[in-house]
Amino acid sequence: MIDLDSLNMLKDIMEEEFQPLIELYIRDSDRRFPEMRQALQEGDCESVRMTVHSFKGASSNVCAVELAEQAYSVEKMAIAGDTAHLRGAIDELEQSYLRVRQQLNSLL
Amino acid sequence: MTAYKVLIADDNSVDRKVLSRVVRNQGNDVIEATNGFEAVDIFTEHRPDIVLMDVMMPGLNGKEATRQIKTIADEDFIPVIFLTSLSDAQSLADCLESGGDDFLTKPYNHVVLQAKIASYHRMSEMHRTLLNQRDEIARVNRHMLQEQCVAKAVYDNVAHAGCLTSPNIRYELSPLAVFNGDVLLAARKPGGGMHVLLGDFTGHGLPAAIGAMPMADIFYGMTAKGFGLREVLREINQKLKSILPVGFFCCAAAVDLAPDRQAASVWMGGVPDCYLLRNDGEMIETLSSRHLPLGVMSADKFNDQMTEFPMANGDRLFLWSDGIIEARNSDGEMFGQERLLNVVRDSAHASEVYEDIQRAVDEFVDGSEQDDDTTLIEVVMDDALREDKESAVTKAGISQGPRDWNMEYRLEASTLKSFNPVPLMNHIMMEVPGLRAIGGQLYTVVAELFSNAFEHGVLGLESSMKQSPDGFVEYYRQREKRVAALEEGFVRINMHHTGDGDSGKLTLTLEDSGDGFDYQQHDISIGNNYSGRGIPLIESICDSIEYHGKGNKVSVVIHWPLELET
Repeated sequence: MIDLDSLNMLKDIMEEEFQPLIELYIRDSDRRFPEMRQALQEGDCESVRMTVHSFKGASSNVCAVELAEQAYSVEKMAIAGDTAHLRGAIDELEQSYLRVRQQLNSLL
Repeated sequence: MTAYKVLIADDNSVDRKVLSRVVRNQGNDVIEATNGFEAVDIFTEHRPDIVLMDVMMPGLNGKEATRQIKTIADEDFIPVIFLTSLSDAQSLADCLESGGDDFLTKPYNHVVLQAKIASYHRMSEMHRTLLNQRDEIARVNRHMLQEQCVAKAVYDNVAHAGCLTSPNIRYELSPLAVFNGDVLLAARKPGGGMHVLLGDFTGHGLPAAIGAMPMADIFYGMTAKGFGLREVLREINQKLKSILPVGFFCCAAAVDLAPDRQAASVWMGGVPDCYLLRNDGEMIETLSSRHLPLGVMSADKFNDQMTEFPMANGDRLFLWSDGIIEARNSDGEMFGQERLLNVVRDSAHASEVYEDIQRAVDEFVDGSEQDDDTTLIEVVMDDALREDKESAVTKAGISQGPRDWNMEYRLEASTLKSFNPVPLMNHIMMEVPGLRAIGGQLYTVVAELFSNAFEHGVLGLESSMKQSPDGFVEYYRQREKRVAALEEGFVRINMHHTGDGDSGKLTLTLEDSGDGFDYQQHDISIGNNYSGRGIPLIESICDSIEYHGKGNKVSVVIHWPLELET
């Protein structure tokens, strides 16, 4: 799930800021899924796109490469306005995120 | 390593924290902005060296924030590097088109990141240097123009237009011609008539303009005091020779317009051929330079010989500097003397030549990027110049000064060894306004008479020695020896002047302690050209020359105003 080599490099770079960064990632991301669902309910695909785009960037930064890729496919759906598949895709993305979160928590 | 101030604008806090840490680890100072509005505010307050800007941000997106930042930065070059996860060519091109300078694609390569920050910093340094230099050049240029304005104002006060506005004169001179080295001066003579001088100094700019100031000062000052043009030119030449560096001089054409004798005396040095056109005929008379320019020859070698041309009313003189002949058309071809002569020749009448020349030159240079430095003047003989209010005023002035006076000056041996009294004598004579017009000639007369009295009389040198080159050298060797050994002897100078203010008579008598010479053996009548006594130089101005006693005393009589020979 997580590219551990890259994550160790990030740890070296961030030093004492590493743990706060991961905590920040988790705090931000936890918030994003209700946001996305809310926006989708309101039919605001652009808002969904912005949120999932940020999530993609943040995930990629914490070396969750696959999660970032999955987020990118959701982003493309949002751009295409594919509301029919978005709900399910967001649910799947959240499942993947929860696994990454668990792994990150265990690393701290 | 230099610390740069880097603004990072990214709404994604995780992204921002990571990038910020990387950039700080590389030794830079980082300020963070969490959205576009904040980015603009922080930019205004902190003026960072470089901006790393996320493209997609809620509210004010990266592209719009960049536009605002670039507007605030104004002339300063603040590099903005877009941060993007987009990687297709069009998206990246869009970033640059919206005002960004470059982009970095996520995930960032740390080495490239630092290299770009340093590279853009160098670029903005270069831009700053460029702006500073531009401002410096603009400042220097403003300063120079301001100086030129002041210089021009001073120059205009000294070299005022004189009587260039007289109805008998038409002229063309660009307002800043002084910085091309061109000068036009014209002044009424106290006794009627006028002096006109066209000068063309070598070079351009301030060096060319600076010599014009003493020139104008001398020209107006001496003309007003009644000095003749020859004296004026002699003085100008001497002044320019002493103040201008070697290789700098003034080509000039000078005219003494004398309506009372319906003639013009012309002196030309180094200027192109000029023309004299008769009012009643088709013939063009060409006037050519016969002298070296002013400021070239030393005072003793300067030739003030003028050429006299009879001029009837309506006859015209055309003078110009080489600007007109060297005027170039768009092909770089010069107007040339030949074209100029053709214009003069083809004119319907002498009175139309001036306009025809102007028109022909204008048409010729049309559209070419050339400096406006054609200087041209037309001087028409006009009987009205004889008398006018102006001259009446100065005529009153000319009547002033000493009229009847006598002065005796006796120089003893010890004084004669090292003192030359001629400048002092000349200075005293120049107090008589009527003698100023012939100051140069008077100087020559006194100098000759004094050197005769001193060298042949007191020192006893034989004038015949100077007839051969060897003798000449021997003469001066002997002179030096005898001056050194001189213990006894004198020269007595007597100047006697009578006059009524409008005319006068000057008698100069020089007596020396020498043995004299047998003047009755010589034909001393005026016109005789015998050697050594300098008589030919004197004869042109003196009415009589008379020797007394044993030949150690001589008197010359000069009446003024002079009967001028044509």
